[in-house]
Amino acid sequence: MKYRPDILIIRDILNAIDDEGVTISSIISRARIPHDRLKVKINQMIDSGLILEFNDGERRKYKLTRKGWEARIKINEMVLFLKELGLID
Amino acid sequence: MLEVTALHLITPLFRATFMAILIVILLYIIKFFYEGYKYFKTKMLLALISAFLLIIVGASINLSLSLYGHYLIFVEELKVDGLSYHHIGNILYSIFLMCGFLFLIAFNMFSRWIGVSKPVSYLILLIGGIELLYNVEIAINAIVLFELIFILINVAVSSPTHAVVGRFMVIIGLLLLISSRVLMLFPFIPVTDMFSSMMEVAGFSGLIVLKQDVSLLVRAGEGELVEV
Repeated sequence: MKYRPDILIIRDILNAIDDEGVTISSIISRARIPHDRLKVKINQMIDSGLILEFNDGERRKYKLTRKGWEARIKINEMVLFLKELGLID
Repeated sequence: MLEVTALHLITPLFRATFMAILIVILLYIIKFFYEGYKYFKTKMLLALISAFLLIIVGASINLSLSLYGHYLIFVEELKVDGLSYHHIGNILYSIFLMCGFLFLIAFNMFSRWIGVSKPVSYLILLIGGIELLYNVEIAINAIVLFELIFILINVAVSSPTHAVVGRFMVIIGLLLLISSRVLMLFPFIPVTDMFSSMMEVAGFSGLIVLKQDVSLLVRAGEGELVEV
């Protein structure tokens, strides 16, 4: 499997989360990341205020905070910048 | 014996001015990475910030020594000493630039190959380390030239994104930096010194265009931009 730098993993996780909130299994399939690794990243993002965890009925969901949206824009800019410089694939 | 002309005497101040502009450009790029680093403490962003900081340190040393050289030439009337300080500043800038680019290349190797071939990437880093030992001006310029060509090839072969304008400007910028280095292969000629100073600044400006281009693209994609 091709190596994916940390910055791309974070970008994929943030891009997998939308306004209404998504379940952890949706993030796993959209961001293509194993559950255990995702859980660590999600917890870090919750701690830094990028993601909000909430209950939707019986399901636990995640959505982006305002800070999360700003971070998502920033990371997408940086990934594009680095791609154009040929520093990441 | 080198004949000192009037053109030689103004090169330190000329160089210092362009180094000041270059520092502003590089600070803008570092600010961009630092804003990202505040959100995500990744090693990749730290490595990029360090690489650009190295170039800023080099440019600051060049700025200071060229200014001091200008002072010696016009206030103390020590022409040869002034030009020597300016020249040492140029060499130190080249060394820091070489280290900064080496950092970028090493970072690029790891980010691409770390999951595929660690021994190969370690070997290239080792060769890069040996490069640092060649502390002669022409050799440094040749190494920087080689690094720039490597980065240019890397940019050219990487899969294109929608940031077409940014990519174009980065390629133009790298070509200017390469031209600047070719000129620096002939030190002590005032015209090459002055042109290389301008090209250095113009070359790094390509990064600002790329930054603006990716910002526009991403923000338009996220619906952040509104028509006016």
